[in-house]
Amino acid sequence: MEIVINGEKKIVDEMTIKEYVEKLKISQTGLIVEYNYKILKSEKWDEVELKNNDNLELINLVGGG
Amino acid sequence: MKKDVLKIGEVEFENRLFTGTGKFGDKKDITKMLQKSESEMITVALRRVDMRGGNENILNFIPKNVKLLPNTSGARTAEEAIRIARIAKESGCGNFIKIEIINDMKYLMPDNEETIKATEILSKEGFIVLPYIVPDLISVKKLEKAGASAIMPLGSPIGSNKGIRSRDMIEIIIENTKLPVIIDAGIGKPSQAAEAMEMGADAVLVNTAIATAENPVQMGLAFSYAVKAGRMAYNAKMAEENKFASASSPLEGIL
Repeated sequence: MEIVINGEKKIVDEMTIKEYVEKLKISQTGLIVEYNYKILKSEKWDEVELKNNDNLELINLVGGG
Repeated sequence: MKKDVLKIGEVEFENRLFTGTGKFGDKKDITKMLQKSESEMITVALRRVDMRGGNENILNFIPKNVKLLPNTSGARTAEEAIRIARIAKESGCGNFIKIEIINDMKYLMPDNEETIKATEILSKEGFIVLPYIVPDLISVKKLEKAGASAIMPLGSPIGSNKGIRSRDMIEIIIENTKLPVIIDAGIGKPSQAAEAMEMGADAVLVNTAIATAENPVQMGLAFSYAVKAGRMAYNAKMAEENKFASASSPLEGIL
């Protein structure tokens, strides 16, 4: 299936958001997940299965003025 | 003496130097700078994670007692700023938000009109809104109505270190608003921060000048002293400027 992650289309296998995040080589501390334009708390990452056409934004806090 | 505190929303600040986390060569200097300067509020930004890894959580470098001021940098419209603000709040950054809406990439001038729109919506949602604006009294009046909790006029373009070039316009704002005025952007050295405070600004926000100094920790402390000195001078009510000389020593009894 195809999802949009951080503005880019990606083909992914069926899995939960938690599984997907773990597959990526990114740090999970402070990671913010916006799932279909709503923030998804980390406790719920393993409850949501990715579906076709989902929109996922993985965000973190960075230095800025 | 009564404590000279600055209240924004329900939060009281004793230190009137606000800082930013951008452009630090070594992020550990952010922690040290905050300890030395005793700055009580610091800005952070939200970005998409770098899929190649190497994402460092900026919160690891900010002591818990320092108030977070997430900004909406990257937003070009009110709508985009509102989305970023909501993400920041829901992700546990608190309800303070610096609205920064920019679509001019040469001078990074904020779009006051879009900023007013975003302020109105976000303040209704319970945000403590600190809008970053081009200093303009009419915009300030509209922001007051829109529910802003403070005003952040720019001294000169972001990161330019040119100081307070918009001095006259900011003075007009200070004289005509009851909202706290925080001069943000362009302050390049401690003397300019002192100038801001002497003018009657309630606080300053300094990022580039501290972060890109050779010794950011020491520069943070220097700014902290300057802000305190400027504020103290403002409270002590400065002597007037005169066109002609006025002898400091008595003119009678001259030998």
